[in-house]
Amino acid sequence: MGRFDSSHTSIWHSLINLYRYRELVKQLTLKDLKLRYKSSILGFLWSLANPLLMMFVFYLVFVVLLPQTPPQNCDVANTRECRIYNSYTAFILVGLLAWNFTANSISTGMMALLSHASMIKKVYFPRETLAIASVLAVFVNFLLSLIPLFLIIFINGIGLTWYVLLLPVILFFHFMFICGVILFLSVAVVYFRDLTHIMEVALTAWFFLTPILYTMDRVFPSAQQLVYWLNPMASFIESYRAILFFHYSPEPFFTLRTCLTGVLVFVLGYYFFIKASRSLGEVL
Amino acid sequence: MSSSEYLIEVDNVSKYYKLHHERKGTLQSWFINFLGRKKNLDEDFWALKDVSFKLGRGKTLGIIGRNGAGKSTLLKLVTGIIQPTEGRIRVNGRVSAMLELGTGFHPELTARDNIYLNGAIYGFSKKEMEQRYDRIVDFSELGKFIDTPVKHYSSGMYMRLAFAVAITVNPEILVVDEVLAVGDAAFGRKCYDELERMKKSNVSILFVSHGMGEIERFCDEAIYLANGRIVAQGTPPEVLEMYEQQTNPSFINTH
Repeated sequence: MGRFDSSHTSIWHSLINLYRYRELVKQLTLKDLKLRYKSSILGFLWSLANPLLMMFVFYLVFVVLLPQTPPQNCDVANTRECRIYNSYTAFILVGLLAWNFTANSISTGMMALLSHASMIKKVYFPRETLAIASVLAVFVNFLLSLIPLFLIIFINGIGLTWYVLLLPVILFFHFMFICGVILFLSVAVVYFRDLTHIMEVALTAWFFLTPILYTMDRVFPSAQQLVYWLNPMASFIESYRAILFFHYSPEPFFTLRTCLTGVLVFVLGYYFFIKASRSLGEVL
Repeated sequence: MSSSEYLIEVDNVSKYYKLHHERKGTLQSWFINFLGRKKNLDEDFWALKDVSFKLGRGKTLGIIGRNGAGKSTLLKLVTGIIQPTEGRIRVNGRVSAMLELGTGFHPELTARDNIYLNGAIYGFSKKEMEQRYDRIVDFSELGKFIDTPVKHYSSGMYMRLAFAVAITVNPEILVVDEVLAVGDAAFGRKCYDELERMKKSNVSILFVSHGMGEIERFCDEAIYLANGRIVAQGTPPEVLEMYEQQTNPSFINTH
């Protein structure tokens, strides 16, 4: 610790160094969680209550106020459309919770370096610990929110299948994907402060371009493959739905590509971070 | 490799800064500059030029120089906060630093949480910090303020906590900026006693000061920096004599 050589800048060296600083990542994550729940009465229970409360909101909006047109022959065949119609809130929540992990990570993780400027200017430690810890803190919330999600899935009579064993894999690569995005954004925003405003708009656009409130075949019937390639979040959310909601066996190629996207984005983001974070001590 | 002999090796290190006269770092300002073809007002500035030295185990190196000589830049380079433009720095041991005020505390956290966070920065587990905790609280004399967010601390309290943490993390290299001037006399003496003790236990110390007395009393070697270059390097009496010769006339004139 505290050992360094100013000429080491490869991803491999950085990863080894990051592993040595795992205790710091843990402490920073706990700090983020602690500060988030500071002076709230329910504290971390909010992570559990949030999905349940959202379910009521969606029930009000999409079932009571804006009822969907029921598909035909649902009493004969349990098609995809019927399952969505019958458990609309569960359908939306699976995608929305995964999306919230992405969106919340971006809005908080983006500021990870800026909000720790006083630390960065005073003491050396691998700066990526800040970015990764901020994602981890949101990830912990996401994992907690899966508990009420499972509850809702059971209430809706969807249940679970063995495909749920694939969930940790998708979670892991989704996490890597987000880490890559945050490593990139957190350092980019130091040089271009306007990014915070750009990302605010971009997140809204991204939300509507990702199949969260709809399915891919409804909105992009002929361009599904293109959207999956261009928008990794579409692939991740489709994977969560396949595993938790539709109980499809996930296509191997689709899953492989989704996971590799996560790794690729992580490596690119980390590479950019290493290059651009060298002068952080001066520009912050 | 001789890297184990020396805890710090600085080879021909230079640090270059662009002096940004107005840096907003927004797309808007970039765009305005781009469209208006505004003349670039940035100036070049070498904060350090061709600095080389080595610090052996258990040695204390004093750095003296006037304001703006490059002392703080050098310390920031050695602690890894900034990177050299040219040259190479190798640090072969745990560095604990006291730069100006504080060693990277998070203002919203209490002293207790900051102690554990800082411990993790220095690579200690929670358990290892628990063993050091009482000593830190003791040394810092913070008492009942230990559970107050450090943003409410006075600069003296902040410094006491920072110093207490810095000496408790078993550094092999201690980097001390002129922080000891902040505390009262009694605490200052306590700090010097502690530095003396660490010196005896083979900790290498990099010590920056304006005070010639401290350098003379404390250091085995000294470097005199002016305008980012090493003017003199050697035993403290030699270096201090040089420093005195070069700076005193101007001191007399201005006082």
